[in-house]
Amino acid sequence: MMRETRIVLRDIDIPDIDRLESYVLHGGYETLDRRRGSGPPRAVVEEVRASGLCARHGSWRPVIDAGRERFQRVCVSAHECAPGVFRQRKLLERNPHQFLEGLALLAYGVGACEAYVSLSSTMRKAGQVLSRALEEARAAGWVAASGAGSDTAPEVHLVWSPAGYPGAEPSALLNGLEGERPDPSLRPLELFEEPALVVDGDTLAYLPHIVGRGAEWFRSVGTARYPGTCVCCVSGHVRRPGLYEVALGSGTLGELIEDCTGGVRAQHSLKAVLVGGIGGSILSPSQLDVPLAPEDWALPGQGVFPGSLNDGSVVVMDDTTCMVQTAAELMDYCARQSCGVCPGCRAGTRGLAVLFARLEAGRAEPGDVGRARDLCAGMAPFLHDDEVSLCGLGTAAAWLAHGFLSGFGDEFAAHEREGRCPVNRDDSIKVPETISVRF
Amino acid sequence: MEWPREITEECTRVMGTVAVPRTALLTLLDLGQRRWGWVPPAWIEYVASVTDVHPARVRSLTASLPGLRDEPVGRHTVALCAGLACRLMGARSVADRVMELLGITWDETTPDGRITLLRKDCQGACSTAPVMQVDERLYTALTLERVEQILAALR
Repeated sequence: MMRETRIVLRDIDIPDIDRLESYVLHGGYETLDRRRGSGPPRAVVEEVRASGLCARHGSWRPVIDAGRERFQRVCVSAHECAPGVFRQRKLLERNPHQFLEGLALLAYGVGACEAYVSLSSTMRKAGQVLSRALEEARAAGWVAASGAGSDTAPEVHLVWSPAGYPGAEPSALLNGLEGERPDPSLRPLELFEEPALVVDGDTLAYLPHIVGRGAEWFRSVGTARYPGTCVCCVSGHVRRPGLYEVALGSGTLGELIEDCTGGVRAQHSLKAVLVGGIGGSILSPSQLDVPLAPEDWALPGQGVFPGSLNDGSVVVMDDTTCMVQTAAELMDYCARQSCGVCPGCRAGTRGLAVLFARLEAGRAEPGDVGRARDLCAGMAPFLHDDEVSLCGLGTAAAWLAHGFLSGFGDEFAAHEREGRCPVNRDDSIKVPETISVRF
Repeated sequence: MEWPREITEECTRVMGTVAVPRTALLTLLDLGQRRWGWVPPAWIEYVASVTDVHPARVRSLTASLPGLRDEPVGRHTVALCAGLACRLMGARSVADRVMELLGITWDETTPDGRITLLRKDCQGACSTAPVMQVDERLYTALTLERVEQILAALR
């Protein structure tokens, strides 16, 4: 029986945890206070490195690379706009001080006097809550007032970004902060010509816990290579959608769906699961025994499972779902979000969107499925994680479309052959039994 | 052009929080988007002047970034989520009812200029799908009755 192990979600149900007073009452800012009062900043970096904390937003790379440990600025990519992902905004809306303490700890550790938090414009409420929390943290001295940033308390700037999916990529984020087009580019990770550390917001939420309770404690949760937990965002046709924080490697995808979310709604059977959203994989029911740990997946851990866990979001689809329609919508999303810099992404996402839309609408031409396959192979040669696109959107789209075509090829072929959908679709409004961590 | 006072105050506040004016570029464009539901040409000129970025660059950003709109909208915007989870949970039914009630389709505005109907990419509230954003407010776990009430309350 798979159970939750809550670290960053531990306090999320405390009603007023978003207020400083309540956060402090529950032990908040104690770690930051203790660290700033004693011991060198370097110890924070060492603790984070020893804990093996990896970026939760999909790359699963170490938060602070081995090469460097002093940075002038910390830049936070608080972007969430891909289908199925809603973890970061919930963490910010409910527990903004946990995030700010993590940010202040990291800035203190690496010696940064300034921090920029870039919020995607889809996260309005998170931004409002964070602004208020920032005022409280400034007044209490946990972060510096305007113009008074120092290497013990950083000045934190909140900025908004309407840049969509590619805007979350570190180089795009830095371009945006420098007033350039927020597109990915080949550039050093510097802001205003000084070294900058780019991190994800949901990863920062772990820092108060790791620095407070020690790397050894963190390593006791999760797997040896990827310690800690993953906050899985589960949505779609399940009985109890919502956020579930599980220890990495503590169970399989099927167990998460059955044990935590209660499985697929009554009188229906599971047809497909989209794991990791756009950068992830589409799985069929026979693949649900894959463990929820990055090392078991080809990406990012070179594991045996041919797909990517990415950010660990999970969208469950039952037997009323048309996979061609789903693929068409997802590729349409990729085509609209593509910034147009990388040729494979620019042309490929649009081409796949057109082909899948044609198949779905019953206007397919003979050979369209084959054309889609060829396009995937052209966009991401040999379907390896080569640098086909700077931000990864082009590669991700090709992988995902390839997954749809290989896992649900019969359905695509039927659409092409018969010019209609063989699925008994259900567009009615569904009401889940309950929701874990409500909006 | 004369801007409402709360807008210029917010603009001044934003400019005060950044070390370099150009850093505020996206935030200020987003401020216009939030205030009017789209980014009017005069706001583009204004943002270009305060951030010291060439207006042509600001215009091209406004036209191309997914989160900005360069065409006018009605007094209210009703944006239905085009995300996967929303569709699975019944967003098509919601869309059908909204179109029936308003008599318009995507990207159209009611003849009285009251409401513009938009499709937006995933709003990130997937566990409470289907959802709909009215101006800046997000309504979750929609039912058809709720949709009717929400639309009826928009003047």
